[in-house]
Amino acid sequence: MLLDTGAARKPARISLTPLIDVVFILLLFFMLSSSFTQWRQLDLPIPTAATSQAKEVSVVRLLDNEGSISIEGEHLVLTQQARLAAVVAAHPGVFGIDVAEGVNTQSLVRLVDALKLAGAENVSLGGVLP
Amino acid sequence: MIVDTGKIGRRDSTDDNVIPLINIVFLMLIFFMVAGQVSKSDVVKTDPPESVNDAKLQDQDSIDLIMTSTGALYIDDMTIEVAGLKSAIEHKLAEYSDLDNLQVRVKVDADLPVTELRALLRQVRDAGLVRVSLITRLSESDS
Repeated sequence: MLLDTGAARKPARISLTPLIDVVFILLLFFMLSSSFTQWRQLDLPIPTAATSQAKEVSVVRLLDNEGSISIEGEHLVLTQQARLAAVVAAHPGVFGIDVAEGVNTQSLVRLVDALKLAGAENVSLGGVLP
Repeated sequence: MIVDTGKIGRRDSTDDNVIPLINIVFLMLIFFMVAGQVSKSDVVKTDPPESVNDAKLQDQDSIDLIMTSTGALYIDDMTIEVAGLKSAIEHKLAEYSDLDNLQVRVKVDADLPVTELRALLRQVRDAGLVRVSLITRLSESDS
C-alpha cells in the first residue's frame, strides 16, 4: 500500500500578487479618504447683558477686505504690525470690532489674529455680534 | 564564456522583482493610515477661513452649523432657512442634558460676508446659546 506522507512534496510558494492587490486597495482607500486639514476653533463669546458692561472699549473698524482698519481714529493697514502693536499697547482695554459692509469672514478672522499677535488680550466682536 | 541566463537558482524571479514595490506600497499605506484622519465629510464643501489661532477642536457636545458662501445654511446635515434657525436650535436642545457645556460650532466659508454671519449669530443668541466657535483652518504660511 502506498501512503502519501507528504514529505516528498516541495513546499508551495505563495504568490505575492493577491497580497499586492489587497494592499493597493487599502492604500487607495486611505489616500482618498484621509484629510490632512488641521481644524481649529476660534471662540466667539456672544455678549450678554451681564458681560457687556465692559470697562473701556476701543472701537476697531474693519473697512475693507484688504485689511484697512480704523483704530481709535487712526487709519492703518494690518501689515503695519509695529504701528498696530503701538496702538494696542496704548489702549489696555477691550477692543471692540466693528465691520463695514461687504467685508468677508476671512478678513474678520485676519483682524482678530493681527490684534492678538499685536498683544491685545481682550478682543470683542461687540460690533459684529448682535 | 559562461553567460548567466538567470534561470538557475531563481525559480520565481517575478516575485523577487515586486518585493521593493511592496516595500514602498506598505510604507505609503502605513503613512496614510497613521498621519491621515478619516472623518465624516460635510454635507457641502466649505472653505473655512485661515487663522493662526491654535485652539484645537474641543471634544464635547456641539451643534454644528455650516454656511456656504452663497448663504445656504445646514444644521447637523439638514438644510434650513436662516430665519428658522432659532426654532431648529430650540428643537435640538431637548436632546442635550448639559446645556452649560453645549457649544455651537459654526463652519462658514471664508468668502461669506460678515453681515450674513451676523444674522446667523443673532438667531443663535436668540435661541439662548452663548458658547459659539468659528471653525478655522490652521494657516500653513506661518509655522
